[in-house]
Amino acid sequence: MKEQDLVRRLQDRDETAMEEFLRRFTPLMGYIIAPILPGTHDREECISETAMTVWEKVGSYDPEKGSWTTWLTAVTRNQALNRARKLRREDSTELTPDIPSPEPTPEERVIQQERQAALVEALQYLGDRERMLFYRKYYYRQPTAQIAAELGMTERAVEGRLYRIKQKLRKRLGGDGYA
Amino acid sequence: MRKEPMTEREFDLLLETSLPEAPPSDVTKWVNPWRTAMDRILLGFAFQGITLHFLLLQYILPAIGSVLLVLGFRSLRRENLWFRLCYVISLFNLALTLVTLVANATIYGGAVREYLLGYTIPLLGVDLCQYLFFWLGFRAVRKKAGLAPGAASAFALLVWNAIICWLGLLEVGNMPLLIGGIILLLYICILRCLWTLSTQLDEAGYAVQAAPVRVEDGLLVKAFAGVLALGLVVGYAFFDSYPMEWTPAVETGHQEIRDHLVDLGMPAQVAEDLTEEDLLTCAEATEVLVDQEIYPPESNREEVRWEGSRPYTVTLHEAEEELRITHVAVRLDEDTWKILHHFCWLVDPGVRGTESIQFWPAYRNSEGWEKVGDWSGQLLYDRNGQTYGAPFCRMEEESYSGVSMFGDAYTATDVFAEFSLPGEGQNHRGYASYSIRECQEGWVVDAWMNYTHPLSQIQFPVQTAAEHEKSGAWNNYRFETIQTALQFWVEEGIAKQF
Repeated sequence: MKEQDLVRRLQDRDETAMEEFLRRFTPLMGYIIAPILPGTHDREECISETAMTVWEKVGSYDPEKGSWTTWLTAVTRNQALNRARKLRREDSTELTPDIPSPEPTPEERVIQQERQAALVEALQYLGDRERMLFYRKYYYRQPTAQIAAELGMTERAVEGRLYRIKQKLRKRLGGDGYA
Repeated sequence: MRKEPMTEREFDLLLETSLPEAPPSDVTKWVNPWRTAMDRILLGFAFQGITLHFLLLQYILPAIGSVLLVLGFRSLRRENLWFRLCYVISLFNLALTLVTLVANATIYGGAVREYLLGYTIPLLGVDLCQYLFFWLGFRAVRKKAGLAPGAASAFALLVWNAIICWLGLLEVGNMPLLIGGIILLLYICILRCLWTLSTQLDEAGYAVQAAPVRVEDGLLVKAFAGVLALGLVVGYAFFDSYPMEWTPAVETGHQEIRDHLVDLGMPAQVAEDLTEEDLLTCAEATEVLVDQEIYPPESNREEVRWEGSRPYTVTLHEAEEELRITHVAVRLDEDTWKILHHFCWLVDPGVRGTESIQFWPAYRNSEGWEKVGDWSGQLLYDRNGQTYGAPFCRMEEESYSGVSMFGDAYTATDVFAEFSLPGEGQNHRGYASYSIRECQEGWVVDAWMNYTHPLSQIQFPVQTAAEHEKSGAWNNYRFETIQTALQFWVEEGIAKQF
């Protein structure tokens, strides 16, 4: 079954399509979730939750705005990050600087949007390979060892390249005072 | 108020939280442990499967293909046994490619190619095994991803290569253009199918676990290129000519024999170069026939001009005289002659490398003359008033196969003298000699020599002058062959030249 047919059937609320979806896209979901959630049990639960979210929100998927893989990646990652935040909150009753509040204020939301725009613009100045490396590290949250293995690099080389990318971004985003 | 600089951790956190919810499509397309490896493997197979005989692409593309296959399978080597075996084979092929390419920069390239030709079937078998293991590995990945294990495109690639190997073993080299075109089209179709399948399998590829590496892909490519470049440089610098044993020539004496031969008509330069053994053979000589030629032939062309009604002859030196070839026949007794083929460079020989003289001796294809004794000869050159000599690197009778100008395959047996000239000194020269005895009257003495000299220092693959001669190729930018002969007959005991 072609990908677009599967998506159409999901959008038409065809329950048999869900089985096909799980069979085909569990590896993708697992791949995205694994670096964010270390526990096997959490990962399995996250995959189930993501599948539910896909079932609920598949109607909002618009092929003209991006590929199915991109949409599914975003949904899966959000689900994993939410679960990771939830797990951290359960571990600690107080919010630490590492754990941003899940519900930003309107002012924070505006600042966040400005930051996103600035960062996306800055990323345009990176080469394709650098941009790919950056997304693996900061979007997919992949560990250095995984990035190194998949790109045929040593961990040290990955760290060195990431450091240089960050230096470039710091400069592009206005130096140390970016915050 | 001045802001405090952000710490690394703060900056990392900021980057993580500042990214948009959905990544760009090109990022999601390439962030997959399978995609890069698979693209490399398919491109590697494509480069290895197509042979284009121009601009050295028949060497460059398979070499790139070998590297891509190593990089591709290296990443997948821990995924399953089949991909691991593919990786081992790709490493073997890469090493073989390296050895062959470096050997091609030396005069031993032909020998290496001939040696490998003896292992054609095992090597083709190894290649086919790689396609077989690739298909099995492909199936295993599909199975792991919960998909049906069929991988028809990968299997088609295996079958296609098996057919090509079979055609190769049947020596179906010159396929009609139409069939060749169909096969090429079929190959492109198979690769296209495989490519599509690989894209469809991207979701399965997320289950693949890339293997960590100790040496980076880029470094591996650079190392291969570096070793190859070094090998080529060393090959061209040190192995582009034969190892020759030049030693200061020793005075042979027997001046009375030389004088005797010169009196009979032998050019003094030839008499001076004879070995003691050959001199002694000629001690009782009764007659000498000489045929001398200068190359290029236009160098001393004579032209008749007129001054009023009086004709006079001028010698035109249109080009510098480069090579002098002297054929000498020395009558040793009533029926026995010694044939000498002597050459002498009158200028610097120019390009060094390998030289070859192919002889078609007088006893070849002749019922009137038979060989007596063995071939002899030597090479000489002068430097700072000292003469140096060396034996030929190789001078022996050899059977070989070639293709005539009409495209027919043939087998011949000739005598070849192979050698290299030193990059110093002057008067580079030498001669080869053999004796014949008349066993039947009325047969012409027809003694030929084909002297082949290199014209280009850089060749790839490096071909020796002898290999060029044996291939039956015409003169080209790489080699030039001068063909010349001594011809005479004996009638009622009197030798007559043509």
